[in-house]
Amino acid sequence: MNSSISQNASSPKPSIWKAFLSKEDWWAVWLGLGIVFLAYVFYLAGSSISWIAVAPAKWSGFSDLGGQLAKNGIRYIALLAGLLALFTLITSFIGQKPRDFIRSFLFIFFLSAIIYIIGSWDQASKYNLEPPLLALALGLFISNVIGLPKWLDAGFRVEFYIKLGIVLLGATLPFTLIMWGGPIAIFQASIVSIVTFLTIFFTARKLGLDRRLAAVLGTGGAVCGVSASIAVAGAVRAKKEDPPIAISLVVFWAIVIIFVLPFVARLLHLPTGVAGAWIGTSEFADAAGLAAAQSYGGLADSHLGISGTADQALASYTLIKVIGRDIWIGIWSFILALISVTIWERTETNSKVQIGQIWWRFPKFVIGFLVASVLTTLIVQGNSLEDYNAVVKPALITPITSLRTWAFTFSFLSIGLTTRFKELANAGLKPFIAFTIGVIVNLILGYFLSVAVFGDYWANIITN
Amino acid sequence: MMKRSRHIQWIASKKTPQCKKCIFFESDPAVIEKTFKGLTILSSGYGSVRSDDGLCLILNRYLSSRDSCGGYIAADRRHTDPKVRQQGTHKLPLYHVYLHNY
Repeated sequence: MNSSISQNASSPKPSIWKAFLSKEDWWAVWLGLGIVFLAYVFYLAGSSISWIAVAPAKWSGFSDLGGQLAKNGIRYIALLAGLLALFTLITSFIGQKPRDFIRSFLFIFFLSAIIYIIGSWDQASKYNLEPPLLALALGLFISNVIGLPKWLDAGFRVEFYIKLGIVLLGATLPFTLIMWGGPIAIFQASIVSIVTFLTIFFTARKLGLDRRLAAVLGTGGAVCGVSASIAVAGAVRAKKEDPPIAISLVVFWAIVIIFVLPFVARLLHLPTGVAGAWIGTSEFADAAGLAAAQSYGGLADSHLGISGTADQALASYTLIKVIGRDIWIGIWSFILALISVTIWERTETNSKVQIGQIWWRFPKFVIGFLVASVLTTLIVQGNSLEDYNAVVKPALITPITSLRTWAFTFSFLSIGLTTRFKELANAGLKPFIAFTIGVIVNLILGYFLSVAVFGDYWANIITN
Repeated sequence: MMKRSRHIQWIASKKTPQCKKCIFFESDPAVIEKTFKGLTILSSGYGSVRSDDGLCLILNRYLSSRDSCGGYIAADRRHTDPKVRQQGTHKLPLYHVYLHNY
């Protein structure tokens, strides 16, 4: 046998510092934790970052809205300037042209502000104008019907915005919640991930597809969408044609599910925490799932008979998706790489499977999410509930939540703006059948576990 | 297929440096994002999960930068192609050829 597991001593050691500066995961960690740290410094000084972390308040008419904008206009400009400076610096480090990024981000910010303002209208939920879905629909319309120049893509960094938002989300979730809910999330997500992967893999094999393509499709549907597919593609040495097939299928189904799951959950009147868990179990990509979870959470206060809070939808979603699924991508890659070189390709290659890839492929933004949660939990500890609601929340948590919502809106809008259906690869009938069967199994099993098995837990999840 | 398989077996049998520094290996995130259409919709070429994986322009595979094979040519060595030599760089012309051939 030519293969072996090793931590090859002769391998050139990857530069730790290079990864810190070239990977957007780490930049999301630095920026997210930097914002939390700054918020804490202001809070300790008896002040708050709330002035710059501006967000539209609920409004009921144009005069009301006009008054708000006239009063806070300078704050919006300050927020734009701050984000533009930071994001331009970061994206130039990872290789974007600052000029293109700046022009693109101005476009994103302007559209996001409009979406955020529409979402704050007190009649928005009556007309199904949930900001995440609105952002996505608007982005899809612009990119597929109107069309945009390619250079604008420089600012449509879906993953960077969503990772930053998730780090900031960590700062608004108590660490105790992660400790208590984490094991349940991992258990539920693991069942669904393994069943979905095996379903897609063996269906694909039955249909005669290559093992590597079957693995790339399987992890795309079972673990974390396109990111899982691309990670496993590298681990199993997939053909160059394989990742685009998985990308097309994941994008197609992820966008369908963004709209369908909140709609079905609404018909079933699922509590927000339960719906968040179902979305976390069955949606593929972080950004797509967050759009669906945030959209559904937004219905909690709209008198539609949906119990729970918006935070519960986000908390249960994040626990299942990030803690239950995302962090295992390195292990999936390692196992599949091991199978690849020991069984599938043993006559073709002597490539080594390096256990280090569990860390190399680890989604590092999760570290920022956890650290932010620990920091805020330590800061908040010792305050009574009254103090928390009267002082800590408005001065520290609300501004971070506001910045998080901006980051998520940039991401949801960018999903739509980057999705050009005619540019996606033609997946072919067999991969489509295999993946779709996996999606159906995933949705049914995800519903069963989220509602019937762990429904009580997710419905009553405590987020503060 | 058999021919390629034998080729891979042959080139893999020799102890060689890793793909990371091979002239035929392309792992630039911007290039990966351009090659895999739609990657940026729900993921990124700059994410941690991708590690330093890249495309082998010879084997037409997407693989780890830590892999190796006997077809290795150091990226800093002058290529024998006179056209490439004239331009004084290897990555760009090879990538150019690659993009237009596949």
